[in-house]
Parts: sequence; C-alpha cells; structure tokens
Amino acid sequence: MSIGMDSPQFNEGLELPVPNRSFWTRLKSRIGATPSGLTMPENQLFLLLAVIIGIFSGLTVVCFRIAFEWIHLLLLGSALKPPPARVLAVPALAGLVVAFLVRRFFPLVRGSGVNQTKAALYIYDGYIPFQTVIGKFLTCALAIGGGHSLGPEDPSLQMGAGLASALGRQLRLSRDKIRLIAPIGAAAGLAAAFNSPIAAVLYVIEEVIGTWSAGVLGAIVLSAVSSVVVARWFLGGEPLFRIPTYQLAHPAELIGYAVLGLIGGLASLLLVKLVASSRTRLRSLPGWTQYFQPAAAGLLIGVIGLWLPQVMGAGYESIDQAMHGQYDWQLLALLGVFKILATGLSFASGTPGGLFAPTLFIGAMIGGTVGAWEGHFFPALTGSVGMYALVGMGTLFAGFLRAPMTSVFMILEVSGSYSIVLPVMISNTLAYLISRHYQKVPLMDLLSRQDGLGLPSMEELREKPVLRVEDAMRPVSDPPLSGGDSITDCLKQIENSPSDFFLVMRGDGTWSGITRKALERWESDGNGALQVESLLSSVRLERVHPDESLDAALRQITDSPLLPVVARTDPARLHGVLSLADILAAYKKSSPL
Amino acid sequence: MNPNPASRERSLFFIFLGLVLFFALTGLVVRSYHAKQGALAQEWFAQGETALNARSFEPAVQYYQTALLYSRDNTAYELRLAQALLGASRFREAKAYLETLWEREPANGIVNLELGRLALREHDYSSGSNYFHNAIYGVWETDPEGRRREARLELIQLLLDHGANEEAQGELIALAANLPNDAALHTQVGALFLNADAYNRALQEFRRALQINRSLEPALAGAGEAAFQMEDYTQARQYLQAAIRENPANSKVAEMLETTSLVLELDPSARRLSARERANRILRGFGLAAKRIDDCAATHPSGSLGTESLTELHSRVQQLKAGLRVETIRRDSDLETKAIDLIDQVEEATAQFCGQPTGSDLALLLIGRRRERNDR
Repeated sequence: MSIGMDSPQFNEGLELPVPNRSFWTRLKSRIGATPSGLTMPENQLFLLLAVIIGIFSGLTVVCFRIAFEWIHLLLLGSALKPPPARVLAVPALAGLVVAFLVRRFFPLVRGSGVNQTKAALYIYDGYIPFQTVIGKFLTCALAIGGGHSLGPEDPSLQMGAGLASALGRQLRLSRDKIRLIAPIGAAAGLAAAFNSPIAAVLYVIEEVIGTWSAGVLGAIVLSAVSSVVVARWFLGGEPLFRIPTYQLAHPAELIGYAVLGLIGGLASLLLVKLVASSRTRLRSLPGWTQYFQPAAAGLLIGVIGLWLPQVMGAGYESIDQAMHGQYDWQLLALLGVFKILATGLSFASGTPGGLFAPTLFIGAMIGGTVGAWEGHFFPALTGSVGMYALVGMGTLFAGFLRAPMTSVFMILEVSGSYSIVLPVMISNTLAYLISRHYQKVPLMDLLSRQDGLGLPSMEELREKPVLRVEDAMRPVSDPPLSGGDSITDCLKQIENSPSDFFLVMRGDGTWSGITRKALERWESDGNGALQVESLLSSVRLERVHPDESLDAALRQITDSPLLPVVARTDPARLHGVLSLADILAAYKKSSPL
Repeated sequence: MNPNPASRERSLFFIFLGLVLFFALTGLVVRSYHAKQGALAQEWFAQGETALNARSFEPAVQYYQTALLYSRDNTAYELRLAQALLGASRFREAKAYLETLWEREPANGIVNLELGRLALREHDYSSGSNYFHNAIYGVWETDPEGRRREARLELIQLLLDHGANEEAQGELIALAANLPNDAALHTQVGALFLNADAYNRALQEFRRALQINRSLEPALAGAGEAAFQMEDYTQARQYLQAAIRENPANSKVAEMLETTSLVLELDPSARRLSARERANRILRGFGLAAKRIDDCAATHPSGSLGTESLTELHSRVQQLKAGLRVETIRRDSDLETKAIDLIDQVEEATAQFCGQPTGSDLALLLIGRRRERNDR
C-alpha cells in the first residue's frame, strides 16, 4: 500500500501523530488514500476486493441457506414426513410461482448457474446484472425450499459471481479485472455453499476458467477462504454431512470400489441423457407452457415424495443417513433411481437450482447400495456402507459433472482422510472414463449448446494436445557463426548459403542474430578484420528448448526471424531453429480442419 | 476506464458500510433461525420422550429423527434415538448410530453399554466384553460408581445367560472386591456367584451380607443354598431354618430344608453314629429304595432298555431285602456295603428312568452322590 507523497508523515519521515489531522484524514492515509482519493494500485485493490467479495458471498450464501430451509419449514412443516397434502401441493405451487418470477422478472436465472457464470466470463466481459443475484436467490430458495430436487451450490456460485461483478463495476475496475472477477466470486459462493474451499477453487479453475492462471489464483483462494470463514462463523464448522471413519477392510475391497465406479459411470450417463433429452423436449414446447412446466415437475416430485420424501429438496440429511447405515440397500437403490428422475424433471423444467447436491445424493445412494450389497455377499471383504456412500458421491461428481480433479479433492477435503484416496481415484476414474466414452460432450457443454451459447469446453481444452517447440523446429541448415570470427571469415562461411539471417554464438554462451547485409556493410566500411561480436548490439536472442510449449515460444519471437533451440543442459548446443513460419505451420498441421 | 480516485474511495467506503450492515443483518437472521431450530428440536425431542416412555418405539424413532434435523450433533438426542431404535428392534440402524456416537465419544459409558448389549446379542462376545469394559471404566454423568456397578452386573448376567460361567466368575470376583457395605448388594453378588457355580464365594458374600444384616432372608436362603450345594448339610440346615423363620412362605427354601433334614436323617455315614443307628439308617434307606424301584418298575414295563436294567435291579433288591435285618447288617460288613451300593444304584437308575426323585429318595440320591465323590 503506498503512502501519498504529500502526506505530512512522509515529508517529515516520522510516524508521529499530527494533532490537527482529523480521524477521517488519518484513516484515509492508513488505507492508502490521499486527500484527492485512493491511490492504492489496482493489483492490491484487486486482492482486497477478493476478500470483500468472499465476505459478501459468504454472507449471501448463509442467508440463502437459511432462506430455503426456512421456506421449507413454512411450506412443508417441520416434521420428517410432511403431511401428504402438502407434499403434493407445495412443490407444484412453488413451481408455479418460480416460473412466473423467472418468466416475468428474472429471465437470466434459469439453469444451474455454472454456464451463466462462464458466459459472463467469456461473452459479457464479466458482466452479471445484480438483478440476477436477487432473482437467483429468491427463485432458488423457493424451489429448493418447496421441495424441488435441486441444490444450492451452483446457484451460490452464480450469486457469488454476480456479487463480484457488481462490486467490480462499483469500484470501476478495468475491463480485464472485471472479466476476471466473476470466477473469484464464483469460487467464493461455491466454497461457502460446500464449506470446502479447496474443492471450490479447483472446480472454478477446472470448469470455469479452464487454466491455472497465476494472476487470478491468489484472488480466488483469498475469496474462497474468506467466504468459508464467514459461513463457518455463522453456521458452524461442521461439514454438510457427518463423515464415517474410513478403513479398508481388505485390499480386495478395491474391486468393490471399481464396481462402484462402473455403476456410478452408468448412472451418470443415465442422468445426463435424462436431463439433456427432457430439457430439449420441454424447451421445444410452446412458450406459454414454460409457466407450467416447473409446476408439473413439482407435482410429479410430490407424487414421488409421498412415498420417498427423501428425494425432495437438496437432501443433505438423507446423504448423512445413508453414510451412517440408516437405510437398507433396497431403499438406497430406490432413492438413487427416483432422485435421478426427480432431478431430471426439476432441472429440465427450467426451475432454477443446482445439480451438485442431487449429484452427491444420487452418488451416496448408489455407493451405499453397492456397499450394502457387497457387505451382504462378501462381509469379510467389505468396509462400512458409509464409505461407499462417500466414495459414490465423488464418483457421480466425476461421471456426471465431468470434473475429475475436483471430485477427488472434494472427497479428500470432506472426509479429511487421505487414506481414502485410492478407492476414490479408482472409482472416479472409471466413472469418468465410462461417461466420457458414451457421452462425448459433457453435460455443461451440452446445456450451453442447447442455450445457443458458444462457451469453450473445458474438457476439450484440457485434452487438446499441447504443441511443443520440437513439433515445429527445423534442423540447422546454416551452421552458427562464432562471435570471435572476423567479419571477413563469417562472410566466407555463409558464401554458399541462401539464407539472409544467421545465428551468432557469442563468447559468453548467449546467442545473437545478424543479417547478411549487415556483414557485407561492415566489410565495405573497412571493418572486415574486426570480430563480429564487437559490432553486434547488446541485444540477445531468447533461447527456447525442445520441450517448451509452442505458445510460450511464440511469445518470445519478437523482431528476430529465428530463435535458437538449445539443449537445457548446454545452451551452446544447438538442436535446431524456430521461426514464426515454423510455428504457424505446426499449428496448421495440428488443426483438425 | 480511468476511475476517479475520490469516486473509488467513496465506493469503497459504501461497500464497507454495506458489508457491516449485511454482517449485522445476517447475524440477526441466523440467530433467529437458530432459535427457531432449537425450539423445534426441543419440541420434537419432548414428543420422542413421551413416546419412548410409553414404549411406542416407532413413533419415538420418528420424533427423535426429526429433533435431530434441527439439532444435528446432539449426543443426547442421538442416544435416545438409538435406544428407540433398539426398542423397535431396528438393531442395525441403532448400531450405526451408536457407532457414530462412539467415534465421537469413545469413553461414553451409556454408548459403550448399549453397544456391548448389541454385540452380545449378535454373539460377538469379544466386542461385547470390550464395550462392557469400556462402559465399566467409562464416563458417566450421574452416579458413576453405581452405573459402573450396574454395567458390570449386567455383563455378568449376560455372560451367565450365555453359559460363560468362567468369564462371569472373573467379573464377579472383580465386582466383589469393590462392593460397598451394602447387604443387598452382597446378597445380589452372592446369588450371581451361585448361578456361576462358585458356591464357596457365594457363601462368603452371603455371610458378608449377614454380617451387616443377620436377619436378611434372601442372604440366609442364599447361604443355605450355597452350603447345600457344597454338601455341607449341617450348615445348610442352620441357614435354611433361619431363612424359613424369617419368611415361612418361601416354598423353595422349605423344600430345600426338608431335603437337607432328610439327608441328615438318612445318611449312614454321618459322624458319631452308633453301629445300631447306622444299621437302622441303612435298613430304612433300603426300604425306601425298594419302594422306589417297585413303583418305577411297575410304571416301566419290561422290554425297553431301561426296564431290563430296572428288572434286574428290582430282582436283586428283592433278593437282598429278604435277609436284611439290623443285626445282619451290624455283623456283616459286606452286606452293609452291598446294601448301601444297591441303594445308590436304585436311586441313580430310578432318577434316570422315572424322573427326578423328591423327598427321601432325593435325599438318598444326594447321599449316594456325595459318597461316590468322596470315594473317588
């Protein structure tokens, strides 16, 4: 933080209190403001803003959680099994109100919120209207509290991004910063909703930004941590569900987790197909039906809820119960199947709400089913059902949302046990591979395409092969000149070469470049006996290495037509040369078109 | 965009102001919601308590589960839920809850006790014993000594029910070593020693009880029974007589006293008997045995395996009976031995084929068995 140059204490060089200065003036000087305004550099302001965004997002998520829980209490009552009339009526009526609000006042709040945040980042320069935050809060609280099978995490992500965008605009940040600020808010919102900062940061990097950008990583971490601190301050530090102790009963139990991965992968596919196909069909219906689609979905969920009330709402309590062996495998399987149906209905009908919590719910039920079933037939080889439920959550996350890294770290973070990593990795990887094999386009990309948005696919970005210098470089056709040779000798060496530009190896092991014309001019000026190095400018050529990415090499080509490609162990050893034309040719060659 | 620093400063000020207000507002909302949750939790818990007290276990489970929705990690609620689940015979779910509680509070006495009960119910004696010992040495909120003793008493009873007498004796010895000066407790422990076939230790406990309260009828009866089982019939008769004086309606004690008296009356090997008296007792015993074999052989016609043996025995009794007099018994020691052996054989055989004897026949059977053990 800089101190204004006209600050009295700067001028005197002493930090003595100045009696005549008001408190306000002193405060301003403390925070880096001058009498004419705040002089804090934008980078520092950006970090401060990340913390502010984190706190705002944390507070919003706390209020959001209380809002939908309170709405649930008001509409469905406090009993574990609400009265049947309410179970039937409330989701349908909530759907009706939500549809009205979305159609008339908040058209941008449809969907989970992940793609909307990506759209803000990639299409709208980080702009998310504040109205969207309000709309998302109201409609999602009503939908989830009213029993729709949706979760609060992805809406929290969008609300966090919306708040960040609004704060950035309020502080008149530059366009670049405004664009970067939405993911910061997204991470904060998700972290507070999940109560797990690492998973939130990873998800935003994996699915929203797509790359590890050093410029924004610090701010994302700061905001995520701030929001989690706030959420824990108000809601307590307990995780969303109590985690059972993990113990691998037998190494052969890993086969059981592999089976879970297979079943989880297939269940992910089922859910993706259901969401994608029903959403397409429902969107193709006349516009006026969209007023009634959430209500119809709510009615069907109510019918399921009469029998299985656990499928209504976010379902954290049921996940907790499944992880503590409170359900037998038949009930677990039923809950898994009907939650898929309920979630598909809720989401496809256009009801705003997230997919994270239902995904975790379905995963926990499928995991619990597999664990209980295996425990029944192979009791000696099977650990607790709770651990299967926990691993199942990550498995569905990997298969359905296609965020493999987040899915692993989320379970590690939630369980607090690193010994669970092996089953989680086995199960998640299998589910991810199955999902990817049978469903080429990930769900979020599919949804964005259905919405007509050309958002970049993070999975495609991740899997795009990285081009390296060795893919583009060409062999050395002209041997490099030595800086110690005379200009006359150099001209003799290049006499038969068709090239106009030559690399020069200087005495200190660095590289420079020289044109044929320059050499000829120096000789004609009578300097033929002088060493080439003595006439070269001090500018050195950047060196690149064969394993370096072509993107990085491209940034290093400035005015020089050639770059030396040298060994990492010996900078004097030339492997080849690289020109702009070589780079472009390599990119063209790798393009599928 | 090149923002005016003054305008940005103003914005930042208002953002901070908004943050403070939002923080305060969230605090109010959260506090209000937590109060609502607390009230709901208590309301449902109270309903659960009512249902549990009325032994309506399934509704109690629902109520406790609902209470836990609003007070998630409340150990008391979880424990009550586990107890309701146990009452509803939903053992697997109860176990899951108890294990979760145990992970959180591994030294909790009541949690360990319930887990111990469940483990023994599943015949997992090793885990059951571990949980019970955790309960015995665990943390109890009220009356820890009493609750620990109760836990150990329950473990002993469960071990006895499952026929693990040796383990039960071990627990009883540990329990007896730390008993307070309470006659009822010593009597209870004595009774458990009796059940564990540790008659000597049982007698010691009953005596301790009687030192505190010499007219305690259960202790007198217990001491009588312990002495009876130890075949110390003289001492048994003293205790049993005292017990029957305290409670004449106790039929079990009366019956045992009658048997004890008969043993003492019919035993020919009792000390300080004259030769005539000894012969008299043998003759009387032989007469009783002869009557017993007559009745038994009549109810079991020949042909069956048992009847064959009884018939032979009956013939031998009839042959010997003819020449058996007090004087012949006194003179002929072989005859005396033969008569005594035949009495023992008759009582054993008839006990096997015609049901457990009562009265004098039971006394003769007991005398015979004691003699056999002494001979061995």
